[in-house]
Amino acid sequence: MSENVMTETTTGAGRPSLRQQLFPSMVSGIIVGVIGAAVLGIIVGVATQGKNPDATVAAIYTGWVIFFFVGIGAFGDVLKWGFARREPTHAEEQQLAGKGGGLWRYFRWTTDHKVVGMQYLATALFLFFVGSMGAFMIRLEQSRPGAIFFPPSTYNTIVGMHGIIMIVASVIMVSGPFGNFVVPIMIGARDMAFPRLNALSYWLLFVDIPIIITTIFLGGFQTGWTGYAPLAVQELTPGMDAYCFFIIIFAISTTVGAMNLITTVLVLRTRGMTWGRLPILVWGVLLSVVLSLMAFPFFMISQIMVVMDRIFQTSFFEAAYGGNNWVYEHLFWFFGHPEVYVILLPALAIAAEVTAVFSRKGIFGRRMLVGSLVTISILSAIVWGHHLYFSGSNTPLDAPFMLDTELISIPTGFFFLAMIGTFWRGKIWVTVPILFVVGVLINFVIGGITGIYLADLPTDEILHGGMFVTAHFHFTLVGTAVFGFFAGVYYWFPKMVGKQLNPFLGRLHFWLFMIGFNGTFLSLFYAGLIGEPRWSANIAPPFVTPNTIASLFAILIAASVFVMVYNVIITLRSGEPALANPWGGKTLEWTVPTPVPLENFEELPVVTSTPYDYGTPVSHPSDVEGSLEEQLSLQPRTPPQPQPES
Amino acid sequence: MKPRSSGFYIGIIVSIILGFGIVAGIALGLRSDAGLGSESGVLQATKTGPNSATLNLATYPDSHVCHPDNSPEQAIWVTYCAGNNGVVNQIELPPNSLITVNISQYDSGTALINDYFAQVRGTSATLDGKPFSNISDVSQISKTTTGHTFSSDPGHTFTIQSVPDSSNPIFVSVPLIGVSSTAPASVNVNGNMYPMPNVISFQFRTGPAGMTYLWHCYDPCGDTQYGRNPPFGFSGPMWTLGYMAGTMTVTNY
Amino acid sequence: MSEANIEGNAGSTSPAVQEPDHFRRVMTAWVVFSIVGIVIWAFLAPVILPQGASNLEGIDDFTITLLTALAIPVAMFVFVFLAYSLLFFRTNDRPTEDAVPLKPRPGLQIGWLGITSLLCLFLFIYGMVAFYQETSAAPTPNTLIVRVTAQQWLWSFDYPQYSISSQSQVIELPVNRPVQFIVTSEDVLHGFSIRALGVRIDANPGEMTSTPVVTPTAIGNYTVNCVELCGLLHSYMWEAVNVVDQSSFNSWITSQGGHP
Repeated sequence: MSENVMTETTTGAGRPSLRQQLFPSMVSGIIVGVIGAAVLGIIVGVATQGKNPDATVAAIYTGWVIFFFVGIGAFGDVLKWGFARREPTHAEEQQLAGKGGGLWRYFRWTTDHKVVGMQYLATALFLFFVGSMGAFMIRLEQSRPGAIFFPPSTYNTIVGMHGIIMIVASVIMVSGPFGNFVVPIMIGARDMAFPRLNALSYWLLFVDIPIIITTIFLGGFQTGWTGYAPLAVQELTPGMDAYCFFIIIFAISTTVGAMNLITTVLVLRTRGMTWGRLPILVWGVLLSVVLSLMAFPFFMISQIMVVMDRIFQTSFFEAAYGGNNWVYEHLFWFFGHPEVYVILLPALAIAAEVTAVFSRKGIFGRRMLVGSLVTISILSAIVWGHHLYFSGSNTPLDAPFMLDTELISIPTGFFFLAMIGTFWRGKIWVTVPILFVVGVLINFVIGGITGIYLADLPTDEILHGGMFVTAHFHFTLVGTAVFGFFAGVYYWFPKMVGKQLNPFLGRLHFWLFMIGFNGTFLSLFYAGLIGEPRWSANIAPPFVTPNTIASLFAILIAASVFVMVYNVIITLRSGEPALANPWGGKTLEWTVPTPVPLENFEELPVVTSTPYDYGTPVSHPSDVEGSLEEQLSLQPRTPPQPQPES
Repeated sequence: MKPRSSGFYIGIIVSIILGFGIVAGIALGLRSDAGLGSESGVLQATKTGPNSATLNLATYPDSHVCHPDNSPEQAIWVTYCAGNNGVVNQIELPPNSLITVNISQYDSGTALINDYFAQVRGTSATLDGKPFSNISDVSQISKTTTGHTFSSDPGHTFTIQSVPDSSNPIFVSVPLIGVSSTAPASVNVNGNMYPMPNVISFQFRTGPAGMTYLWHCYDPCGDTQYGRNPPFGFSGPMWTLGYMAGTMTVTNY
Repeated sequence: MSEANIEGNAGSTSPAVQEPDHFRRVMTAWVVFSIVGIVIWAFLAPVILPQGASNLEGIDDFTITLLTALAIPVAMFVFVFLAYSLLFFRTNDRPTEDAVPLKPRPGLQIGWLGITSLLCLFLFIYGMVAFYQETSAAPTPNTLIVRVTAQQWLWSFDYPQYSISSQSQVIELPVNRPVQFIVTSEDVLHGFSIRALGVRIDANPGEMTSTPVVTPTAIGNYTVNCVELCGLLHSYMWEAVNVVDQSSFNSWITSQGGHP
């Protein structure tokens, strides 16, 4: 990768020294953050005489976060330009964007959206790896009856960590890497609307990760990823505070990122890029972040209230002192349901993008598809009560919640119509991205249909809180959203990294994942049907067989993860450089060279049609063949001249 | 398809094996983290005949005796131990036997939150001619040493419950009467001073070998800051194995 | 969007070859697979679904069977179209020309909207009716009331009408007599669930929640378990539910110290 960096046009200043690269950087951020955490922790620990471990832990986390940002130089901008009351010069902005910064710019406070996108990609893959380790622990424990590998308390902590790490990873997995790297180029912009906020949103996520890891050393947390009070308030060991702070910081990160993305798409679209010509990925990411802007504050406030109950002995959720646990459930699920659509929508958008390119056909019913994504977003905000059917709260509202939950199946059906219509009579080039899209569609059918079972009151009566729910949400979140993410990874890797992931390993990854995933979770559907509850550290005798089968299939999933890691490593080390447009895509990111220049375009493009106007004979010679030198030239090409609109 | 070296395929196998190695390493690491959930040794009931055995336990108001090297936060955790020392997380009992349990209760009492546990349940046979099943006056089953005092509340319960779908369910619950909070500390156990214990004895029968049960305390205790306020302190020691909960296995030995 | 108005022999490479009627073939495949799937499900359903033991559970199981039977054609539609496209429309390598876009068919989209809406409406109405049937029964003087107290990590049961509590981890129920469970918790959230009877309700501290009135219809041994994560021994929080005949129930009441 370093050779790509060196071909960037740099004028003037040479490579900075190692000291200049290290300070400020992630390294100095960590050092200063640890010092700050220790200082604040000691101050609060002494002030409370060690009697309030939750308060001490909260002080440690607060110190870590604030002083990390001091150490990484985030506040430098405020001092340099805020107090000095001047705008940064163009050269200073380019410096901040990492011009001439070499590989180190990925470890510093860099504002270039492409750098932030790569940082998000690496972090998302890391979080998925850690989360999948938790998954393999769970399947290991559940492969035999009894709590044999781990005591139940360790198992509950593993379940909680797997859940929350995977949720966070899947929220950022598309909007982070592709929302940051690809979307600005796709709409013809030079960068995001708020480049410094872009860096902030990433580093908030980075600083968040050690917080959740420390829960292992603080006794873990027993509530699973939903963090239900009053169990969350009950914990004596401070491990629960790690979870609460993880969420609070993450909510800030997503809010900052959401504001940035929305402003960028609203304001920075290039000339001719009307709403009607916007690529589907941009729609998907935009709708997802609008939803998250509405939803995440509720997650954050629910955790702040739990932390207050724990540290300050307030009683929001304790019945004996006038609180009520239903308050938590409503706050949580008002966030929790839109949140799964935050995860799902961008992945469905990727599926649509990839299908158009590899069927060489415009998306069938494109306007209908956009309309259905908008409808899903709106509906998802009003269905949260279906998680509360059997909580005892507000039972008269069960019926309206059932109605609008089942209504979501209608726009979802339109999505399938659009996808099938795009495949139908296309010229389908079967590459690794399209394989993952096929996986998305198959898994989404199963996931979506089983959602109906849970939405329907008479069936939810026997399925709520059981493994059927677990299998359903894994089919939608993993089988649909994560498969969509991987389709995007294999699709955009040549543009982002400059090398194409090995297709043989990619196909191996897909088949191992698909077969392993379906085997595991179809068995768990059966376990749920016969009554196995969720969160079972101890597998009762009636459920042993489906669980053992599920664990055996999970071995295939594990193998697929390791194959993917191997693929990434050997590609980075010795992969061939990729063409600028290896797939023949028509969105704007394929018109810029690889590696993408610092400011994306020499001249901002003017758009005159949608990127889905397939149906003309080969529109650009270098889409089919082209010398490597031609593709690697730094001269950006203008998009193909389209036919006049009919 | 371009030709690939055999190194490529070897790399796939190696990365899969390495990956499973990482999985195993993480599993072992999590298991060894005592803060997440403690495991400990096995206590076998002492056989007194072909079909009978005796189990001696003690409950202490702190963990000095049972976990002598605990941190100061965990030192105040109430613990069940075997006799005078030795952590008891996993108890073993012989099959098809009458088990006599003697518990030396050194801890003071706290009011039950669920009156269900104020009654003795599931015990069998008699000891010293007294019927033990379903006696509602808890004090009748206290056998105390001289100089005893006792509070009107149980200090703990010793409750044995079955695991899900057990083919031989057992349910035994005995409230362990507490020591008065004003009793003087007059007994030395391993260098720690405690008041005279109340010794509670009861009996129950085990079934065939191969069964597993859970034992647990159902009287939430602990100090006022963490233990007694709602939601009733089932945290800390009450839900860490090795303090007030564990497993009980019926097996031949 | 420039769309060529091409139909019929779209995508044919040689004008003389008769293009197979893809649409008819795929629709035939869809019908065949759907019928086969429904037939297989008809045999599988009684094997997979556990035997119900109450009037409620019977309705719930039937709903699952019906929903799956409806879902099979829906799922097959996607699977068959996808498989057909991948089999017959794939190119062996990178395509050298674009595919021809399909004619815009507003009738198809409106028809699709209509069918999915009808299906959705049917699901909603059926669900409402079934749920109303299950929950509309009000408790009568004959209804047995069982008070359930959940705490970490044990259920305890009281029968206030007989002034007894269950001495061990058992709920004893007489067959064919309506029963209602009134549930509360001492500490944290628990989920009271008897799969075989088809009842489920959360146990909340400081609140009393109740299940619908349910009538056990089959004598047997079932289980109650906890379906809301409540801490260390959540997955051990199981107890037995025995449905017995009236006389056995009466002797059980006596054995627990009450008067039937």
